[in-house]
Amino acid sequence: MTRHLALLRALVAGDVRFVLVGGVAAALHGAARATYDVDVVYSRDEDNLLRLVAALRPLSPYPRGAPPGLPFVWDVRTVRSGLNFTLRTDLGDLDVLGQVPGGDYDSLVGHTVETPLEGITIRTVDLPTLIRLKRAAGRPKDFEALAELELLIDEQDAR
Amino acid sequence: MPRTPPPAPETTSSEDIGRDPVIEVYKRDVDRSLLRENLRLTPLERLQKLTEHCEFLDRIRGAARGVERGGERPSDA
Repeated sequence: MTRHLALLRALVAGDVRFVLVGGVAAALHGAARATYDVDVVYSRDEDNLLRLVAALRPLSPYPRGAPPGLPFVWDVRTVRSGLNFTLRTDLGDLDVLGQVPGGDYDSLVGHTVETPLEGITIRTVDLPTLIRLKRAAGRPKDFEALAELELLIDEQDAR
Repeated sequence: MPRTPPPAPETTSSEDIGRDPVIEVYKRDVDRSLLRENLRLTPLERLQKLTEHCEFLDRIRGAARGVERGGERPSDA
């Protein structure tokens, strides 16, 4: 079970610089589709890698879908030598992404909104940017999600 | 401490994002009443609703797996 808020809280508590993208970002904008994994785009600055590793280490991150027993070590060296990690953690599935089609942390952070969530505030990509990222991903499975996101813009315009 | 990000740009309207005819077709199947309901909620409430929805799906899937393992069909209950 993914505890979405607890995962976000762990990142915020660790002072990790990230922006929320993906299905949870869509849900925060009002989308109704269920999504299990939390997707974040993180800053690749060296100090942020340290924070990211420290924040997630207590949650036993492990590559999602990989067989057990791999010599996977969640440390700065691993994160530095990789980019995007699809992880299973004690709090649920978490995708930590150094880059997505359509942007990285530095290019996305200016297209975010502050989202208050029970004592924490996270940066969520804004709705037009989320649509742009979904389009850039170019996956047929995103068509339904894109339709919903575009209708959300229409609904917001109408309010 | 995290650096302060630059300010967010002004909100983009539906006129600015362009339209894809394929996506337009998919919109016919979207339940707009659900979207309107969600827009009346706070972000925290939306997140809690998402988590509860996932928990519900987990329970359904768990029950289905139990039925499969037990060789029962839901109609046997």
